[in-house]
Amino acid sequence: MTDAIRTDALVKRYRRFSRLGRRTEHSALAGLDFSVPPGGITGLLGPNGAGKTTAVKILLGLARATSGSAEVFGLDAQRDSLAIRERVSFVPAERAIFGWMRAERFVARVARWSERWDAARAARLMARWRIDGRARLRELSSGTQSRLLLLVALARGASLLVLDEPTTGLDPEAVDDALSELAIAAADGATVLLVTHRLEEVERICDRVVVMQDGRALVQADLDDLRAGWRTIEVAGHPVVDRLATWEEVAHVTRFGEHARMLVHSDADVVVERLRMLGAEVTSERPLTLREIYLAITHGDADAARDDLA
Amino acid sequence: MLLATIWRSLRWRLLAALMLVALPAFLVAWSYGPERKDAIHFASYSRYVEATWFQLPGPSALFLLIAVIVSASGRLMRPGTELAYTLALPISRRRWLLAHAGSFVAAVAAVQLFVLIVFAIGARHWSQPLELSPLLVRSVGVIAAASVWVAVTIGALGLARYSVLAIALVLGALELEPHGRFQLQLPVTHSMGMLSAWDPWAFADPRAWQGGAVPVASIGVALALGLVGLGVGAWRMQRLEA
Repeated sequence: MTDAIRTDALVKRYRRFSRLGRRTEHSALAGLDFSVPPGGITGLLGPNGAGKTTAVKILLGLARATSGSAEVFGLDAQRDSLAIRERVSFVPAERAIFGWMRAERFVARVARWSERWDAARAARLMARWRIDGRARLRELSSGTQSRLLLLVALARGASLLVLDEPTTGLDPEAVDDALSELAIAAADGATVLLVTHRLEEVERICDRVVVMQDGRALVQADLDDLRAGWRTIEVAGHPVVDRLATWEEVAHVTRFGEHARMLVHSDADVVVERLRMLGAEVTSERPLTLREIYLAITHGDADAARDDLA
Repeated sequence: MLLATIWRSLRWRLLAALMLVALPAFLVAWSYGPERKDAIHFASYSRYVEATWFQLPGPSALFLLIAVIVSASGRLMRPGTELAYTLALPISRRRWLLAHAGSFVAAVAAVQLFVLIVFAIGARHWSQPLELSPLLVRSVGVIAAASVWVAVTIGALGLARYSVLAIALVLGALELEPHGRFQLQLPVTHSMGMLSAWDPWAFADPRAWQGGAVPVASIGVALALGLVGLGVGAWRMQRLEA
């Protein structure tokens, strides 16, 4: 089956000129390879500057790749951009757009460009989310602007929803509501690419995650597999501690005197068994939360990363 | 989405264009009088208006400036979230560009219609008949000539991106050409010179068509200039990163 999204060795470099007129290049994407299967909800994660927005722009035909390829439903993102955009809904990270337009006119105008516009769904969400159609977009609260953009994205009846921080500014109840609407869209067969920093939302609704950093995809996996694979294991003092970092399954090792804590990204049971066979005492073993996994992937060590972020 | 966005950015520039053209149009309409008519031997108010407004150099050359003003849209090619959102809808870049170009030409036509209305008011004021068909033909000529500069300004926007820079680029280039276009000469005389046959505006001058002549050189240059302007604009639009 054709992937909803596929990128191969995608590179994007931006040229800049210094004040002295010297040309420099900045790589936003440095060989991005990732794919999103059709259906379901995929979370696209990564620290600021990881290249998530650039990747989204290339997929939507809003920016050109320097090299590599990007496909949406098997269509080339550059060459077949118009055909792709007929099947894709987009919520940008920036909410303050078309501030001069009344909400109902904004909805009507987007509807004109949507072949499969679901008027009933739009009306239902307008009423449920209490969006005043007569208000200009700039008069709406940040949360209501987010809801309006999400409403329009959902009502377009698109096969792929690309949502950049869609729940920004929403209160917890509205977040629940928005996420349940996304789940309904996915259940109806749509593919959702959720670009976000909110890991609790990813844990709640995503089936799959892609973690980006420095323009590359570091990890792409089903969420359950990811959570099942990652463990933190603590080992009491033993000569094997010095060799743990060389083990293939071990992502990171932190030494505490005679003890060591290691993050294992796969085959945790095999690692524990091997440690025991070598005579090491495993003092604790527990699965990681998505937040810990994310920090471990992007910073190497969840605890060190937490300290850095603090 | 498309037309609402275009109108949003166009309306103030259209108003500026109307203000720019209002004074000379009223001046021409009100400068007609029996003594003036006798002095320059014009048979009718319509002929007077035609000679005073449409012959060059004359105030109809203001439409070059008007074409540049209405076309210098900051939203056309400047990256931003609104442009990104619009272009993320199934709206092709070509459609985006051509919708702008068409709206700019329509704005020029609206300004020309306003001028004709002023002339009609003048005719009523002087109790003179207004021969509409020759004036309409001249108006179409002016709109066609101005459309060339709509395309040139779009090309300049593609190069400069910012409207102020695009205006400076086009008007700065015009400074290089030798003809004084923006002269309001009252009273008008029959001896006023014509633009060069190669001038892309010359075909809008009624005298260029006298005796069944077709100003091929002027039309050719105008077409080439318009196509180059639109081509540059389209090329830049395709490469634009929203």
